[in-house]
Amino acid sequence: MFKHILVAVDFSPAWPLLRQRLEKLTAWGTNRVTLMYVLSTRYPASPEETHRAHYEAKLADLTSELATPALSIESQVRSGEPGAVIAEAAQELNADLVLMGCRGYSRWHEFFLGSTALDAARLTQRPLWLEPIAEDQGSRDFRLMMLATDGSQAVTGAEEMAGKLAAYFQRTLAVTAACASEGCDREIEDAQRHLNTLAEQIEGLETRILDGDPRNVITAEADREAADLVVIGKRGRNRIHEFLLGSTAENIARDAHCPVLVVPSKPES
Amino acid sequence: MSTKQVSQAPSATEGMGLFERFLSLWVALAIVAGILLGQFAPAVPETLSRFEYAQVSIPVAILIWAMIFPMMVQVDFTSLLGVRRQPKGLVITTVVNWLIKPFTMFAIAWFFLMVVFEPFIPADKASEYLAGAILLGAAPCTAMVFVWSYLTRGDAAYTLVQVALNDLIMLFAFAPIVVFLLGVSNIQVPWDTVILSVVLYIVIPLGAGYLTRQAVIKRRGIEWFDNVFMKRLAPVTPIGLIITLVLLFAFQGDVIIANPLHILLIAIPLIIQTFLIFFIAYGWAKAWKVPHNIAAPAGMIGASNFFELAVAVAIALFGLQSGAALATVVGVLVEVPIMLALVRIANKTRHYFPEAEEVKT
Repeated sequence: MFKHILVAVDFSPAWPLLRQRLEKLTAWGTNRVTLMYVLSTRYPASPEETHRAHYEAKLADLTSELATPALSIESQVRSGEPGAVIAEAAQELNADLVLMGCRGYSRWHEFFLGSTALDAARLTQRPLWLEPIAEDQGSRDFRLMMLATDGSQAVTGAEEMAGKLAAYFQRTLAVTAACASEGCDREIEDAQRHLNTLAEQIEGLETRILDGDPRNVITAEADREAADLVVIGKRGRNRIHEFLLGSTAENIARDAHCPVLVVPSKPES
Repeated sequence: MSTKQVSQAPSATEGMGLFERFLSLWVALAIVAGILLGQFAPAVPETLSRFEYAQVSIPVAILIWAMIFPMMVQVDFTSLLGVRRQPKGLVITTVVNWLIKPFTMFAIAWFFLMVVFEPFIPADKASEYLAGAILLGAAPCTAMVFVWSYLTRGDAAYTLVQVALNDLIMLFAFAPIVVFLLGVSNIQVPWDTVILSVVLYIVIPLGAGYLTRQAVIKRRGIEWFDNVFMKRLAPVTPIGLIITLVLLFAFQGDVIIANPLHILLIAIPLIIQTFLIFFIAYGWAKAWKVPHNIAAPAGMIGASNFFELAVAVAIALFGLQSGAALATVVGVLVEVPIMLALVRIANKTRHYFPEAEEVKT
């Protein structure tokens, strides 16, 4: 499924969770993994260049532990703004998937401390798997995948990805958030039509129209259904816009309690 | 299995965090918030300013420690073991930072504030602004410079060595330079007050930072220090900076409302000085055939200021209401736009310099 996975390693106490996820994903036919650690330059941090050798040795140990005859593992230590470095590296290395941990921070926490995961989600041009990191949780299995779609051009990549991933999940549910009150019949009809088209393309697809703001109802539905993965598309918006107004993808990535796969929009044809 | 070290190309300002990228905006908002606080709730800053010990405002000291301590925790003196690695870069930046920059800052600021802008700025205010400019010029940048180095694809290891070396020199050189240049400007500051400032805002944070770093790494390891401890501690700096500025402008409100033009007038010599110092260091590096990944951060370290320290010492020496403190804040205000312009210049002139692998150092 993902031939080449780029993993953002942070060696935090939650790293074992990310490693569990990596081991599950590589079982889907991955033949190359790049482990990457980024020495941060975020203000006021200085990159711990004197620790570079330490992290290179740690990554080398990890590559030895993870390598199998069918799996080529390489490692890199880079320095810079972590989210931007990871997004650029994914493009440069032609990775099929980026895997990284994501902690559920508030906007204010993110403003002052930053969020590597959300920065990467904004900048990535490759599919990005955000694994929620909580030290008391285990890595989830692949029972229910939930695709969040609004039928726009921005989510065509996410829909295609969900179609490919459906084979690995027991259930696949596509949801669209729409206004369900009186006078919104046309919107609901359009949404249902799009979901029906998707159902023809993805075998066994369940569909559902949710009532309310997509930034809230999609995460709530994922919690209610105990989804194991939410797949969403993202538009190319800048950070200040998202900080002030929020985007659906960013809100879901921030608030979800399950892994989120962010798939960048395809270029307009 | 392979382990590679790669120098990647950052994509302009996307390589910066939200806080540093829009620092000028946050500073401007802090100025507005501070002025509003001073105008509509003057009791708040007045009450806070009453908590003093040995003429040092305790709330301000706490805020300034909050601002500076996380930076100092990260100063890694073991990096100085690599001091021989880039001797040309270290010579250029050290000479520019300590033997040229403080004096050009004084000369340029004096010329503009005392001569060119004489009709627009009262003499007593001009002296205070000059003092602020001197403080800005006397301490080289410690934190933001890593961002500038990264954006120009600079050698991070060289940048780290240079910053550690500068912090060491600063312990001994900052006070004499400041006292000398203020003396030349006929601004008398007692030695003991300057020494107290250096002890409070350089020696104590640097010493505490060093001890904290050693203790945390020893107890919890490098990974916990980098990935847990520093991630929790780092946001204290921007929060401390913003609150300090709000408090400062709660006292400065009347001055700003009466003389908004002064901010612009103070900014002009600071901008000229920054460009001049960058081109001195960068041009020197070009003449010495230093590779671009050293030349660019050498220019950046030379040009940028340790504005957090300048703000702290200005408040300690001259008070929150002083023109010196205002001038140092103008330094914060213009830092990011100027340095981003220099980043663009450095990146566009990359081809004038040899690449790292072409040069044997």
